[in-house]
Amino acid sequence: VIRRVLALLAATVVSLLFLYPYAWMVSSAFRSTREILAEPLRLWPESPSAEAFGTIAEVGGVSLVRAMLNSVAISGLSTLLSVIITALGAYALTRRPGLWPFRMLRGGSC
Amino acid sequence: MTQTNPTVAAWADGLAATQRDGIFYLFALPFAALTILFGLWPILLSIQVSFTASATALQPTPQWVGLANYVAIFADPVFIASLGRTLLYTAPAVVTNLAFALAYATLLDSRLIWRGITFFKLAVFLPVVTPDVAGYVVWRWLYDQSFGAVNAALKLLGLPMFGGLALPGTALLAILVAELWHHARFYVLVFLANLAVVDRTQTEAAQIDGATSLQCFRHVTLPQLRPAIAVNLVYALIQFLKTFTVVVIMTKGGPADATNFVSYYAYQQFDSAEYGQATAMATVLFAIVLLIALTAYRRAGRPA
Repeated sequence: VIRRVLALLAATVVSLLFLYPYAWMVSSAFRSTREILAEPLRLWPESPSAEAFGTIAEVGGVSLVRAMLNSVAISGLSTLLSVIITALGAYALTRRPGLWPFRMLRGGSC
Repeated sequence: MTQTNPTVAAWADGLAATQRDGIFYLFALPFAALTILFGLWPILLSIQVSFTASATALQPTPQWVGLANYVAIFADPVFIASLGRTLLYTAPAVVTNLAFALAYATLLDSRLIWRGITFFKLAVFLPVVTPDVAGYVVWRWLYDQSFGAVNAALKLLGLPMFGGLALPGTALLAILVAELWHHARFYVLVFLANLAVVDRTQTEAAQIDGATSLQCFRHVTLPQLRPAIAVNLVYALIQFLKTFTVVVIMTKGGPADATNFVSYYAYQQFDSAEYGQATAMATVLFAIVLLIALTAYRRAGRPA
């Protein structure tokens, strides 16, 4: 039983240490700079404010929505392309492992 | 009756094989083209630039200077120091990352934890969905001397202040912790996948024969983890030899060059238009990474 409790304790401590930066990030998003500087450890906003989100809604004349759409478009397209291209390549190399120029690559690594 | 000429027969066979493989060449073509265009070509160009004078490197007819850039960087004490620093950082970084990942994966796999496994996995895997830049920005805040959470916590516990990113002595430790936070999940994941296929009957047999749990782990489980250790070792070596993002975001190579690794120094040189020397450094780093990774791959991948 002691071993079980110790194991749970160790996992809990590690997990909380890993999660702390997230908790800090999320709570800081709703706090003012002054509040963050005054009490760096605090995880619950004194007076929750979404002001920061208003500030980043438009940066340098470009709206946040536009930036997000860019991210989605880039990741969507590149995922689609790379899946198609690597799937075709992988199929070819699996069916014909000895395909001429690629045989050399295998020779190098195996 | 006609006698088949062996040469013609072989040639016909080859033609038939090419026709048969034609569709497969077609399938592999985009993949090969992209690999060459975006993978091999830039590397070759970069190596080519390392043999030209920086001032003319980007012109259509660069001035060739042979090994002058390599002579220059090996005469540069800052580069030699950054090279040594890179290797000195990589060794403990690889060891701590793999040791932590192995311990945590073993803990999660041990069946000692009766609830909350998903939570414990999620906590460590969450950095996957975090952009590395965002993660390191948060860490830079946490390490802040006056307003950071790390020092506030230490003060609360009555412990001495941690220098964080401000002191040369602690900056390496600080970025090592931040990098562990960001990278450990990959190694944990690989160890967990390997632990899932470890033969538990062998462990039971060892236990019946009176082996302690430490002996079980050392002599039964660990040898079966060899594939995961090999993959993680090679990957971690490559990862930490190339340490870059964390330096750009958190320290800019400082304080007093304490975190100025080869990749960052080369980037700085490139920024100040020293293209020849920058690419020479990149080439040296590339050669070192390739050499170390291949050696580790061959040694660790060999069956015990």
